[in-house]
Amino acid sequence: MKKRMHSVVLGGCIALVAMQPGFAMAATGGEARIQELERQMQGLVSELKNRQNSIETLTRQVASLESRISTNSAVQGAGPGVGQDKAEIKSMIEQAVLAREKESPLSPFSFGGYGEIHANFNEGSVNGQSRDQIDVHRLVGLVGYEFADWIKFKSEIELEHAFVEEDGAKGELELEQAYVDFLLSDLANVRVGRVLTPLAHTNQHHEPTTFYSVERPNFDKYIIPSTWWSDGLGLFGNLAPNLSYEAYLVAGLDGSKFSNDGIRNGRIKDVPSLNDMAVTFRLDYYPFMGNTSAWGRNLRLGASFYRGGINNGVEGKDPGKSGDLTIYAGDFGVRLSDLELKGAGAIEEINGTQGLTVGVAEEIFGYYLEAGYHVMPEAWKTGKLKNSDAVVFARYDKQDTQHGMPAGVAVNSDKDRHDWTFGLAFYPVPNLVLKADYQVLASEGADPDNAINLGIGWQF
Amino acid sequence: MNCLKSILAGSLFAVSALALSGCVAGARDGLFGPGAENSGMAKGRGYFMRECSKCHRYIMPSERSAEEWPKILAGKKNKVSLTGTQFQELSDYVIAESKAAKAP
Repeated sequence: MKKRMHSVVLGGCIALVAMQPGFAMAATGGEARIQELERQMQGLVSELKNRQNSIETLTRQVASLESRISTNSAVQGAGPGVGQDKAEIKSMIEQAVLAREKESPLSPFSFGGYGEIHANFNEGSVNGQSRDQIDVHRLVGLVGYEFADWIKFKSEIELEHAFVEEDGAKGELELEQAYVDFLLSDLANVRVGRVLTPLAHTNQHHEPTTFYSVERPNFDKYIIPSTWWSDGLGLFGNLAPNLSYEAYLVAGLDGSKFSNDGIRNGRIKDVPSLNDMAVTFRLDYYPFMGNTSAWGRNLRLGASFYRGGINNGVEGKDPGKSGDLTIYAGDFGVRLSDLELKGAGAIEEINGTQGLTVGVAEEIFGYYLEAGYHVMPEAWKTGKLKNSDAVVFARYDKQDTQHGMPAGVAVNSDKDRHDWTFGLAFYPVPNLVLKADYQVLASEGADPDNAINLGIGWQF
Repeated sequence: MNCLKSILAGSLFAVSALALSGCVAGARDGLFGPGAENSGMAKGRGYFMRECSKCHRYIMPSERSAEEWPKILAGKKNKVSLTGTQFQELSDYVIAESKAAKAP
C-alpha cells in the first residue's frame, strides 16, 4: 500500500513538471540554439580566415616597400630614398624648432660661449723662479640675434686671463666679432662689421674643442696671430656646393708695433684707422665631397690672401711709418676614418718699409703639420660615455719670424723655431675636452724650455 | 725663399684652378650624380662642412642617430649663417647621411 502511494505521488510530480509551460519548447529550442551557435562559429572562423589573409597581404606589402626603400638608398647613396623621407625630415626639424621656440620667449636670440683653463709647467726657470702657472685663459660669450630669416647678427666678447689690469699689462676684455649677415643668395651674401680675418684655419676656428693641443699651434701665434680680427665689410657665399669663399675690405694693421716676433702686436684691437686699408679673401674647396665612398670626402683645401698698408698707428696716420704687408696662406684638413690630418702654411712679405722697429723682418715664414688618431674603442662608448671620443696627436710647428731680413740687419736666430707637440685630447661629451700635451721647443738659437700642459676646454 | 713663395703661390693658384674646374664639372655633371634631389643634398653637405666646423671638430653625421639630430639641429638654427631653406637642406643631408650609415 505504501509502495502504491509512493508511485502515485511520484507520478503526480512528473505530471506537474510536464504540465509546466515551455517544457516541451525547451526541449526543441535547445537544438535550435546549438544550431545557431554553430552558424556563428562558422562565421567567426570565416572572418578569422579573412583577417589572416589581410595580415598576410599587408606583410607582403611592407616587405615590398622595405625592399624598394633599401634599393633607392643604395642607388642614391646618402640621399633620402623618396620624397616622403624629405617631408618627414622637414616635419621632424620643424617640430623640434617649434618645440624649442615654445620653450623660450627669447627665440630670436642665440646664446653660446666657450672657455679654456690651462695649467702650464715649464721645465726651466727664470732667475731660479718657476714659471709654472694656472691660467683661466679665455672665457667667451657669444650672442646673436635673428632680425629676419635673412638678417642675422653675431658677436663674441672675450675675457682673457681672468682679470684686466688697469695698465693693461695682463688680461684683456675684447670684442672679437660683431657683424651682421645679409643672406641674399647662395652665391653672394653681405657681411658688415668686425670679422675674423680669414687667414689659414685656426684663426676662424679657435674654439678649444676644435683643436687637440692645450694651447693653439705656435704657427697660429707667431705667423697668423690668432685671434686676429678686422673691421670692414665684404661678401661670402658658395660658388658651388663644394666651393665657398669670403672676401673683405678691412682696416689694416699698425706696422709701428711689428717686432722681431712678427706682426702679432700690429693688430689694432680698439678703433682701427682707415688710413691704410687692406683686402683679404679665402677659398675653401672640397674636391672629393661628392664621392660615394668615404675616402677623401672630408678633404678640405683652403687658400687665403691678405694685402694692405700698415700705416694705421695712433688711431690714424702715423707720420714717418709706411709699408705694405702681403700674406699668402694655405691650409688643409681631412679625416680618413679614425685618422685625421691637418696643416697650414704662410709666407708674409713686408715691403717698402719706412720707420719700423729695427729687427722687423722683410719675410716671415711658417707652417705646421698635425696627425691625430681617434683611439676610443667603440665598446667603451656606452652609458655616460656613449658620445665620448679620444684623440692622440703629434704636431710639428715651424715658425721663422726672421726669415728674410732687411740689408744690414742681423738675424735673431732665436726666432727661427721648430717645435714638436705630442698629446691626448679626451672628449667625455662632444662639447667638452680634457687635454694633456708635452712640447719639445727648439730654435736655431737658444732653445726655449720644454713644457707640459694640461687643460680643460668647453663650448656651448 | 723664392722657391717657398713659388710653392705657396702655386698652391694658391692650384686650389683656385681646381676649385673653378670643379665648379664647371659640378655644373655639368652634378656633384652627386643626376637629379635635382641630389643637388639639394650636395648643397646641404656643403653647408654642413662650412658651418658646423666653425665650432666643432671634424664631426660626421653618423656619429649621432637620425632620432638624435633634430633636437641637436634645432638649437643651431639661429647660430648659423644660413636662411631657413638652406638650414633645411643642411638638416636633410645630416639626417639622411645618419640614416644611411646606420642602415644594415
